[in-house]
Amino acid sequence: MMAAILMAQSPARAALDDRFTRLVLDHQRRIYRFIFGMVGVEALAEDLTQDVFLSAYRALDRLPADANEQAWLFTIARNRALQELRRRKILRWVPLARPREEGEGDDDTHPFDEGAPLADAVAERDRLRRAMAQVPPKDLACLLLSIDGHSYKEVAEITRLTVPAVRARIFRARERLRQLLSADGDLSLPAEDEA
Amino acid sequence: MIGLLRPGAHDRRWGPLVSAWYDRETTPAETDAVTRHIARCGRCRARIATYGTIERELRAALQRTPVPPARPIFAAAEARRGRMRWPAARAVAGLCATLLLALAIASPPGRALIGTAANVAQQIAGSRTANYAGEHALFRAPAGSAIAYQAHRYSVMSATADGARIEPLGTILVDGGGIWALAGGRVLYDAGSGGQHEWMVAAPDGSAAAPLPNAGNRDVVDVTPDGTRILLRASGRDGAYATAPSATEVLDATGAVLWTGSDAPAANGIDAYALSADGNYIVSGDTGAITLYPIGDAPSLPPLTISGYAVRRPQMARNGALAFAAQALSGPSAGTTTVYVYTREHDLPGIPHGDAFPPGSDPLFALAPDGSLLAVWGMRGASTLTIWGLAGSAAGKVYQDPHVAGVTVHALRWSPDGATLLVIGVDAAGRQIAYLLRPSADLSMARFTSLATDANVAAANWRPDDSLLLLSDAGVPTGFVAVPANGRTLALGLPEDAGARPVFGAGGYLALLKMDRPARFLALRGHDPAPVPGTIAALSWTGDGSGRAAVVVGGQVYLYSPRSGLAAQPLMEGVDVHWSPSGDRLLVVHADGGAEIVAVDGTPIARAPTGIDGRTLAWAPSEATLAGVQRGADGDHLVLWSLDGRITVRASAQKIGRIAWSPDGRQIAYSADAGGGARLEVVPVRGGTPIDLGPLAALDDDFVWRGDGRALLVIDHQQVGEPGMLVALASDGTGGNPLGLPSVVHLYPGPR
Repeated sequence: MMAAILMAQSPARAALDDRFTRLVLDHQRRIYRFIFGMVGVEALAEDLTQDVFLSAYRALDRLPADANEQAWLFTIARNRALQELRRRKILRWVPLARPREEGEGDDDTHPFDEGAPLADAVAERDRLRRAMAQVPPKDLACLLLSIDGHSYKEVAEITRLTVPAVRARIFRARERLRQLLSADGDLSLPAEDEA
Repeated sequence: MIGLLRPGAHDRRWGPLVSAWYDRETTPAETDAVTRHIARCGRCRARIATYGTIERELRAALQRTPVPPARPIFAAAEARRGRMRWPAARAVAGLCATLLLALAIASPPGRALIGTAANVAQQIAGSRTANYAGEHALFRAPAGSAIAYQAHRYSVMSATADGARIEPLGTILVDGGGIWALAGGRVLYDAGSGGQHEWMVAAPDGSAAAPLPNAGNRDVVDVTPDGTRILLRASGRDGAYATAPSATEVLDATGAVLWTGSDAPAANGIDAYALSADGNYIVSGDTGAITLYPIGDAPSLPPLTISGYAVRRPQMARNGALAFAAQALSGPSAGTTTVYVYTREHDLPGIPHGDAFPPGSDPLFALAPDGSLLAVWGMRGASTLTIWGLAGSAAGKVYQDPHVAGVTVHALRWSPDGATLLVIGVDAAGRQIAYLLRPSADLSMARFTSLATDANVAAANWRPDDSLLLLSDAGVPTGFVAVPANGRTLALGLPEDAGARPVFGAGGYLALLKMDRPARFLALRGHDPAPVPGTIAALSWTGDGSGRAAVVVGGQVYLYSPRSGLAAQPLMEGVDVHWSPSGDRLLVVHADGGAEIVAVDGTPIARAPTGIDGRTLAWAPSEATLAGVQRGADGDHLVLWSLDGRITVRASAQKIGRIAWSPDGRQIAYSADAGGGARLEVVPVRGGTPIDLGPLAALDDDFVWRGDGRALLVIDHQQVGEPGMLVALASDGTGGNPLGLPSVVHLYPGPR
């Protein structure tokens, strides 16, 4: 059936679909993780990721062939995430790991955790989660994009900001996290400077 | 603004600059200013350290987040919404088709690693640049751990007795094999491979795995329903179970020997596939007889003589009923096999259940522990599974299962309470399947439940509480595994790829490097991708966190840095390269086996003396010397080469293979062959008598120091490249311990 659908498409549509296929394969996971970093809820991140790619699919025929597709997708993703956060007015966070359902087995370690008890891992994630929730979303978006490997120039392109503004927002996000995590007392971070 | 800031004084205004410097996003002038400032300002150095901590935590948190593949993302979102939210149905159809196509493209095993070298090289160039593209196999291994390449990984799952709920319990590292439930909630599984058995006992989540004492290289053929007694048999030369009495043994759940065939008066041998349901007897079939060997204080029982039949696989219920397959030895039915049930009320051999199976078509059967039901499966032209009522309200009734059509059954097991039958087999499409049948009291019907998981059910068995254990190959089929000094293994989740090598960046970040396909090194920020002009033959990262690397491509050494990407021009010729621990110098090995030390700009520093095999050279952690092998007419010598030209012999042998410095630089481990086969030895760097730790499969076999320097990890296998059990050998020669990692194929040093 799939073949029939594809065969019925025009060459232009098929080329567009090829391009979209590549977009999904190349960027879907990074977009999902970025959105998840912004909204902190897996199910919501899945929904928003879908929305991002649906938007991309609809607009792809208007995107120049030599456009920076990655920056374009991240722009859509950032805007969609911010729109959602504005709509909700609050940041809803759940543990970064998929929460255990009632009656689920004692699979309480994560491959990264070297056997750390679930309680420790959840506490660590909760601490980070609380801190991330208190960083202004636009600042957090810049920091997450930077961590994702984007240069300041690319972050500026995605966020429609200037490079100095990006620099300032990333600094602010870092400092906010630094303050929050230091105040939390769980991380041995130096106190904020006084001078 | 820089001009307003005093280089040595801390000032809040340095913050944004330091943040940008941390991201390598400063101008050259700013870079110089910040570099000078942080050299004097402890607060800003601390700030940078906290930035690193925060970034690592953020990245790790995001890495932990499972990324659903494309189809589940869209499908799950749709399921939640309950209806199509977007109106353009045509667009949706096109989208679905495109996604299906995308998934089809993504499906081939190699797809996940396309671009791996390029992506992960970029990602691990420095710890802070490692992003969270988990699909590209980027993971962190603890400092001091060794990395083992492991053959298979299976998930242990539990299922309720009715099969309605299947839940993951954990992961165990096995190459298939069986799984059994023991008393006390423990799980018994076979961690062996290649025809060898390594029975391990672990918690249900796979943790705290330890070998079952006294199991040896034997197969577990039965465990009593209460999980307290284990029947083991050794294989003979032909691969079938040996019938010599000494080949059979019974252990309890702790591995203590309860019964050994060596002491049994069994002149004709023992051919047992079952313990009696009450655990008191070994039930052995023979030509013309069934023999019951009592265990512990159980009273002796006389053998049952069944003349004219070869008795196979007898089973005994708690009520004393016996079921067995009997092959007629003579007469018109010679060669056919019939399943009989015998109780004291019958004359021998008992009552046949079902027609005879033709020669070559031996039936499978299972007698319920309480003796009330008998299940028989076999091929009489078609696959048939029949349940016979033997006692109670089901007595004399028969149930024929319709679900078995097209299925080749290879295991039938009743639950401990005798209420539910587990059927394991392979369907017409070659898929391994498992399902449950719960017959009604009058055998008029049976409730069917498929134990459907996302993957094959490799093995299944009942637990004493009538729930089920499943061994499923769901999830990542294989992994690289980190083995920290504490011995607790840590699955890294890297995909199966025997052609890949783990490589490390700062902070223990680990990636796979494909060695057999062209790659691209991506410059980090603001640079175009730099294609690697060929296949990477060798790669070495500096250990200083700067993210620099040296790569060998086409017999040329290229340098790579995060700032400028891969150098356009090679540094020099070479076939292998190793950074010094400080990252200041390079050891370059040439095609003729010679080697030299060069500065980062290629300036020669020292050339290895003639006779030293450059391919064996290894930097001491202190960087003051290198250890290597000097080949001579009188054999091989393990030597220390100081860069001032001094050579000091530390050990000699007919042949010496590989060398590994201990983490503290005080000892050197090496493989040597003095004529009797490869051995692993350790010698103090200051000199002394080498300690023989044990045999290796070959001189080029893998061995790695454990992070604490107190043991070396080796693979217990007969041949390099074959899977084997991971073993830790104490570096003082006092012995070794298996580490519960079966089928390890290769070992690599981990991050320090």
